[in-house]
Amino acid sequence: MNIADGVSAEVASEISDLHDVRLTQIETLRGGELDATLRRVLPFSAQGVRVPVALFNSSI
Amino acid sequence: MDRGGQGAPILPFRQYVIKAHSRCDLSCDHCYVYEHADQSWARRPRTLAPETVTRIGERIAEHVLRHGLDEIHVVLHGGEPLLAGPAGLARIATELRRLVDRSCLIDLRVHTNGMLLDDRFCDLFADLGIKVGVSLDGDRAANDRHRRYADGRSSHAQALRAIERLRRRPELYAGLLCTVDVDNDPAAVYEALVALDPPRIDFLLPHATWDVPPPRSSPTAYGDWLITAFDLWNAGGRPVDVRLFDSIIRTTRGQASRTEAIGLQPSDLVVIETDGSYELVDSLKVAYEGAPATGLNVMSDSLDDVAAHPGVRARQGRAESLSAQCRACPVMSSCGGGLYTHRYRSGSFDNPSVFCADLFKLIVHVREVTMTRAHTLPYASLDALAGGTGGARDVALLAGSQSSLRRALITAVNERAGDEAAWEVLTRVDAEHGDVLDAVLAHPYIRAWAVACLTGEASSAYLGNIAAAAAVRSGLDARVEVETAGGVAYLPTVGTLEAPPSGGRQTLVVLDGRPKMAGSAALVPVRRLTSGGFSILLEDRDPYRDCHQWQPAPPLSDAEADRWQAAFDEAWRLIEKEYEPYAPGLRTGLTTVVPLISTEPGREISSTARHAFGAVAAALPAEPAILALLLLHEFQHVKLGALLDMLDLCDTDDRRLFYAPWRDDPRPLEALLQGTYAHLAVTDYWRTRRHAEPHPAQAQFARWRVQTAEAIETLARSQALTPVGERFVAHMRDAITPWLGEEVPEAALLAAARATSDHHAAFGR
Repeated sequence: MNIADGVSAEVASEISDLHDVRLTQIETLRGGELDATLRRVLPFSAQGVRVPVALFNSSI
Repeated sequence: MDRGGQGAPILPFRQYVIKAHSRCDLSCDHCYVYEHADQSWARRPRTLAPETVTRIGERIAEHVLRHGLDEIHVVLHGGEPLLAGPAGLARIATELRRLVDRSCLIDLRVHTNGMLLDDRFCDLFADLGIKVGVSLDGDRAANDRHRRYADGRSSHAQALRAIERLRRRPELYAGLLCTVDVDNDPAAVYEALVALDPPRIDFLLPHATWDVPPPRSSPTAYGDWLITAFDLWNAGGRPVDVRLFDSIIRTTRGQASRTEAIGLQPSDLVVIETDGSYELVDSLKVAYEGAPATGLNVMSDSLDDVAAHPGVRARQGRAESLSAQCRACPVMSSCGGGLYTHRYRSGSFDNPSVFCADLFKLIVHVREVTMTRAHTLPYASLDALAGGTGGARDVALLAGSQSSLRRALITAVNERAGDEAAWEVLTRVDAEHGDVLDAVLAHPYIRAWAVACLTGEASSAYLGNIAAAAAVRSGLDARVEVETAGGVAYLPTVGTLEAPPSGGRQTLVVLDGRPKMAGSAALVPVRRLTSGGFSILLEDRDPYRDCHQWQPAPPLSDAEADRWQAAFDEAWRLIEKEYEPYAPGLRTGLTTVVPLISTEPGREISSTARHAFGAVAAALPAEPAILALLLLHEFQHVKLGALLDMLDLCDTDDRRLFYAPWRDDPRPLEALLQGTYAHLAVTDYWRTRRHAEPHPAQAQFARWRVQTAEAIETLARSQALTPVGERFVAHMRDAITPWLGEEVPEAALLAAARATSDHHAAFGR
């Protein structure tokens, strides 16, 4: 985490940095990392981003 | 009352917690309703009277209509809501649907301990569209630590029976709610919950305050407990939605939290008790006697009255309502001070959470794990881009993420329909000349082709053309099959080779950096536009450049290319001289200009395509100064498109349409954001142009500064921006505000006012 002047200095994306990952290794990325990156741009996998309600969740 | 946005307009309620029954059949010793400071439950009726139910429905319907809400969330809660019986719950749900369903969607849920959940209730919930969440604190040992009957009996077996019923009817199964006890084994709890296949798990910190702190064995016992659960969840491939963990990840990406437990989202929740009284968030019962009370009731007061209550507003102030310690904290945007209730100490909520150290440790851990190898954007870069320009480093960060996207896309194409020879060349160039492959893949229309290929609209054969281009540029020998069309094979960033007229796939050989096909003449290199030390492609051949709104021009003649060169040289020199703040970003990100066909004389045509980062398409305008304007305008879309690929700035599911001053049709939110960002640069263009060309620049500046500012306010009021989107729009506002005070001649102001008024009138405003 990059912290400067006491506050969070950056915002993270869902796009994996593949610059230093060889093409031959990209397809074996762990945990669906490649899918998460592709989801950002492929129309058939794009899901709407609903600004969500911060939902109430109290156990009873 | 503590700080909290008292001057702001009211925020309508979208969440309603309705107490269906005020008593419970369990006697959990950690329950916030019965075991803490507020004992108001004892004075309330056990159930809602029929007239109270109707009045609740009428109040919600009135509120929904007044504020145009398209969806609300209603939780039937308690005590234990199933004690109201099937008839009692049916009456509430039916009445709500009768009164409210016509105007908006109701997401209706019930939270239960599961003791009474039988098939009769399940049938009822299926009929009425009610989803069921069940409280369960983990395995038997964990659950029975607190969740027992008054006589000490275990509730675990009955809770499991209820959950098994829900697993057989997954359409009803909303998830499990687990209150954390640090004496429980986090791994055993996590595994026990996951084994029950819930669609969602909510880990809840026990309700506590600084006055009555939670039991703990170490300063970060709750953080450590949750980190163990997170690591199991993450290592297991995140098999279930865990809202707390997902919200930390989301807020790290500038998105909104999905739980009230963390984040800076303003609260839009109201509780309605069995006597019809409105209350603030339920958990406040642990703070002090009467803490949740508003003194308002459905019989006499509207929900707008409640929304204006200082206690409601206190939980809507975002960062400015937090304590000084929280505002200086590096994880504030994720934590948001934690649950409001947990901040209470001796009459004040102006404190960090009593779980501050736990939340800090957890959030830092989640960030470190999930931000590994993710493209990030410094807030300083976001702010610089939002201000309208952005420097070389800021645009390079956008370009870097685009490079990763293209590497991911061509890998996906190869997985889908691989060409072994082409892939072997690409991986060889990648290993031996990575910079060369980067340069080829930076060509804008490779992404456009890859997306078309993955959606079944283009052939994967073009992978061979990319491989051939990489081989030519790196000097590696290769033999690949390439796609030909229109009598040529196009090698991106390299040029075209004449191909046999039969078309289709042809064999191309690269020897000593020179491409050859059977019977082909020498390579025709790509055209370039240059000005000073800046050089970009004049792309008139790429077969995948036809992804803009307008038709691309056919391959240019040499004379046409010369005219482009002359216009570009003059336009770029103007940009460097008069629009210098934009130049570094353009130099870094603009790689390609695509000529378009001019369809109407006198009408300027230009375009960008979301899948073609780095390219601007335009019909050649008569004036080089207008080409400069088109480049500045369109490159705003290039930057914002790349930013939107990285981050969610707004709610893309929002179906509303908004007035856009530069269009004759109303626009969706994201399109309005795009247009507004582009017009920030358009306004700036005319602002500077006033000195060289007062007419029409003065009137254009006067018009666009007002209308762009108006659009910025429309965006800011939309309530559909993510937190990072709100920040972006706020910096756009900061950029334009000083321009609103600049002097403009009276005649230009009148002309601008007339143009604005005419557009409003045409739009029916």
